[in-house]
Amino acid sequence: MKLSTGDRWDLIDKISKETVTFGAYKHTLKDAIGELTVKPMTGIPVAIAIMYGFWSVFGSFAGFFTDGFFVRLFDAYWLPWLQEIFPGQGGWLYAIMVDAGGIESGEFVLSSNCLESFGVLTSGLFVAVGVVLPAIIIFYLMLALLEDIGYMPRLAVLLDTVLHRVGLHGYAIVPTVLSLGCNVPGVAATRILETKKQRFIMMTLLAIFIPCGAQIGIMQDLMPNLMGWILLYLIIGYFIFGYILNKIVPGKAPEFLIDVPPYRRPLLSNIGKKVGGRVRGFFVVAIPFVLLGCAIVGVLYQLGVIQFLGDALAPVFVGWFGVPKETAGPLIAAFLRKDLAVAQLDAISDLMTPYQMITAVVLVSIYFPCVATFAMMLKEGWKELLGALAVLTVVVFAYGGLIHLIGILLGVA
Amino acid sequence: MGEREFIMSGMDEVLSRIENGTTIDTIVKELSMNRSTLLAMIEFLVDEQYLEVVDLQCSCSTSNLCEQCQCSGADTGHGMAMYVLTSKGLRFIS
Repeated sequence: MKLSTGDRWDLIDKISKETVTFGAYKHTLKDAIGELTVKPMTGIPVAIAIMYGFWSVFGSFAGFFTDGFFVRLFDAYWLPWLQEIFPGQGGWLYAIMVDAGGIESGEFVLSSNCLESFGVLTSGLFVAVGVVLPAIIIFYLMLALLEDIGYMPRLAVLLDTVLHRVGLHGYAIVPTVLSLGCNVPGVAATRILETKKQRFIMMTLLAIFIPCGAQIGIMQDLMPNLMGWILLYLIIGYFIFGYILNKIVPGKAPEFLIDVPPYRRPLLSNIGKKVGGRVRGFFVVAIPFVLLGCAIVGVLYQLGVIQFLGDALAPVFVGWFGVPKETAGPLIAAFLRKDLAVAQLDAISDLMTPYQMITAVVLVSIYFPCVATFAMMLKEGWKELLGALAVLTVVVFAYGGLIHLIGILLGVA
Repeated sequence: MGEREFIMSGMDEVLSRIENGTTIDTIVKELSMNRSTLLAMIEFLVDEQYLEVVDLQCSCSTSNLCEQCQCSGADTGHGMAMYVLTSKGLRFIS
């Protein structure tokens, strides 16, 4: 027997009357706790408190292992040992692999710490293992905890209105937060966004304005007093250029109905697997690029290419961005690894004022995605990549110039 | 009011709220209805193509972790489900 649609509904009515009890919505304590993190009045202070806690644990953990253990290990034992046993001191291979050193009173002088040595086996390993690895581990541990508790969907709901101003929706916070660990999974996570317009805006903003965990870790270690200003410039840029992109990029940014899951107890095994997998990913993706970056920059220094580029681009660096021409080297290294570039900027910090350092680090962040992110963006589509690069070029010159202008107006540039 | 009438009369109410972006808990509270009733209504709206389920991947799937993670790649990213109005849904409320 085949029932008509009307008959089916009548049957449903009949069954539901006999089997289902309809009651009014009852607000439970669990709902109330859940709402505290979603409603703006209470949710924003809670979000700020969580972010502050996140930041404090991140800084303390990374600082404890880097300053308390790895700096001593690398500077007191690893560097002197390598300087002694590696053959050909003063030669080009020695400079690239161990220590570029310096010339004082006409004599070759060895570096006293791993950050200034610029060698693949010294600076490269120290940045990757000594500085970035502790930062990455604690970042992914905290992120996995927030994910498994069920806080991330609530943060998405809380930020939904704000992110709609830049053409995205609340769930865009997930690629954004993932990018704070590494831009590569962040770019991949833009697939969760619904429209091409949203994916393009998200991918572009991530590539330009979101520093990766490695970069944040090294900034926290080397220039903690400038971190706030650097991040402030990046956050402001994220929203200014997101707003502009939302206005000029054609397409839709639809609203969503979101079903937020309840809070739940995190499983240690699950967190362990997530953190372990992501840290393994860092070892595979990042460390070879750090070492390669060190080697390429070392070779370019030896060949005089960095000097040449610095001289050729001096009018742009000095005149437009207000930074010394010596930043050419770190900017080239930034294409391979941003953390390495920040370390190299710190090594030439004597040549810069604090404001120039802020400008230089912001430029390192926004001027080009690292090569791993670049490859990931290419995977998402070459049209999107070209569009993002076009936006990026405009942003670098406009925003870099604007930061310089602000510095001039404030009298600090 | 029977379930059928409730669904038919409440459908435009729910759809118009979705147009402005909201959560399931908010609609449940605003319309003072049972959560399971609303979920059934949403399922119906999805079946009738007024709503579309947004395919959310778990964040771990972006780093080939889904085999290890509990979500098994099928979860809607941190246990969250998202729905968007289709053109049929937009036509209905306009």
